[in-house]
Amino acid sequence: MGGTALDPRRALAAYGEDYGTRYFKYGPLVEQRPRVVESVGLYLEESHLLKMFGIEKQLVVGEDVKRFLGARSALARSVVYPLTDGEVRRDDERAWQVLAELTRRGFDQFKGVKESKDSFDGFYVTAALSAIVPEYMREELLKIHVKIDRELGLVKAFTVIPQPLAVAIAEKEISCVVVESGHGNTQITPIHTYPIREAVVALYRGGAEADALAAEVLKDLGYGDLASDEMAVRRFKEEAGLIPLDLSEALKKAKENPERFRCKVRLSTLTEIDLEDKGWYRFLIGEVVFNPAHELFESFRKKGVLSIRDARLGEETVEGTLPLEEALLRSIRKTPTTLHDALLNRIILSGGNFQWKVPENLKDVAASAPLKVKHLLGKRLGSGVNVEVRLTQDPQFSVWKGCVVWSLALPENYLWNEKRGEGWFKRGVHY
Amino acid sequence: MVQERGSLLTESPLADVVRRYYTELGYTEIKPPEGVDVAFKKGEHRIGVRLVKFSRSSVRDRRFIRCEIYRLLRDRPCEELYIAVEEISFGRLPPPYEFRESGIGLLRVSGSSVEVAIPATPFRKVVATSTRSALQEGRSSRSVGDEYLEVDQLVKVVKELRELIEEVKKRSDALAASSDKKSDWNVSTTALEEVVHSEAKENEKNLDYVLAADFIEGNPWIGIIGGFGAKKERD
Repeated sequence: MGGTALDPRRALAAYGEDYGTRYFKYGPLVEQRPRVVESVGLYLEESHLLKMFGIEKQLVVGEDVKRFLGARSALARSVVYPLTDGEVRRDDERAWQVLAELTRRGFDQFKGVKESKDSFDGFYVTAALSAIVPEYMREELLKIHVKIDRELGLVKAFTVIPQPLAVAIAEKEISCVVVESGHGNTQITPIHTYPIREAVVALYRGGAEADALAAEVLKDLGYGDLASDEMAVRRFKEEAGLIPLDLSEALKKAKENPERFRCKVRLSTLTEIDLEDKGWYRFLIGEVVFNPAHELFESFRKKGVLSIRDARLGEETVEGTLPLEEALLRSIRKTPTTLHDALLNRIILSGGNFQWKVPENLKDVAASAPLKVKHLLGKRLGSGVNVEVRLTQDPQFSVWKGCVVWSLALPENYLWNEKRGEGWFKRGVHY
Repeated sequence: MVQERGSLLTESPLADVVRRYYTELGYTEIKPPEGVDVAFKKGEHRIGVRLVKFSRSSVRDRRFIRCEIYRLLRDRPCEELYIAVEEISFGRLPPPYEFRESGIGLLRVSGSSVEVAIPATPFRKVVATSTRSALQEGRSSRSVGDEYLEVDQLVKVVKELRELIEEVKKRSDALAASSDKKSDWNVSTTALEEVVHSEAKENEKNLDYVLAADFIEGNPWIGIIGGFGAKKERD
């Protein structure tokens, strides 16, 4: 434990929240794993209210949304995905309401703890946000948690940490580079006992771009009707998508021997997608996060399928299509030179977007995400440079794990500092 | 609008079926107090029934019935209260839990038969308070007198119970002293304490389990994070 005695009561009260673009993961440390709920809300229209017996709510969130989904045409108006690229727009009231309700529902499930234990006076909550979120995101989350505490009395103290830091904590790495790629964005964050903020590089691309490409592939294969079905697209992406070690080489081989790369994806008993001689499409889906600037994506860019926005970090603009290895090197170069070698030796890939299959018979052309990054960096820096890349042990939950460790260890008297955006925002002190 | 709606129903077939039902149960119809359409009495117990005929709008019906529940709760015209409807249509009724929680029952009238869909919970009398207030005001009504007697009887029963408990205590002490079983009593006390301790130990065990998680045990960050705040200014 690093010689630090942990307060047993804190272990029972440590609570983590990972606000992902796609999923909200939350829960106390004692459960060992977070609960996961889709980050989505649905505003019920008046007609729904009239039909639903006894339902007086106007907003439902998470899993409940599926119960109320009506006609597809109504979805666009009523369904709210609160986070876009890991952020919520300041003036997007509906998105904030959804986020607040998701958070409140999370705590609501644990209100029994307070009722059954008299000595329990609330959780120490650590929330993880993207490393590049604007200040107001933190402020709004503080407000949400204060409101929840007033309602349920379950938030004794609250703080926020960047997602990549949470990953480094979960991985027990003090000096490393975390590449966190979720649905909405990819953040590259060098860490040396704390994130080196000046060196953070963010790319606004992630699983969403792979989804968009998979949908386009489905259209090209003649399954245009499935392209609007999110679940079908994601399933197809996960089953068919491959990361090419080298895209040009992989495409060449796939076109020479299409039968070897052919795959059939069964989405349901009635629907099976056969890629036939277009097995090479599989590599495009996996490549897009690594290098969307490749010439093969040109046609998709022209069609507007890949419209990746640039990120603004301080005075610098990071192009959305910047190849991943370039972004990594740009980030590491901004750290002190003494750290460069150590950081190149500990590159940690995190997030659901780095989880790709490597079929046994295609190992000569397809690669895992760490192997791909190592290959790209080796090509760029020369084979003499020692680069080590690995995946997190638990890619989907590592952020939550880092959060609960933070909740467990952060001293009670380390209070909220607005300038740094860290420390406990506490009941009785701040609200 | 509410009264009009109710009064029209007093002479309706719906009211007749309800009357027949309670007459068969041995109740006598009495003049309905304000707030209910028909009322019945058996001994001192009175039942009031509000008759509701559905309109064309399910929303309006639900709202109307919910308002009736609130009003009956507020006015409490009888000890037991029901809302009678011609059919159970869940779109037109508030959720069943609203009936259950309020204590207002639901009668379903189907043709010539009546069925208690949700039984009513009779309102409790707050004996002590009403007795005290009545006595304070110096009134001596018959019902208040009865309640006072009930309280008096209860006090007697409690006294007897206390005496019995004292007797049991004395006898058990004497038994323990004569058969030298005092140590056993101590043992059992210790055992009780052990239960409490074991619960605490169990908590500690649980805690160990939590802290033994792979991402916590030996995590160097715990020391680093734990040192925050020790220095006022960090780099």
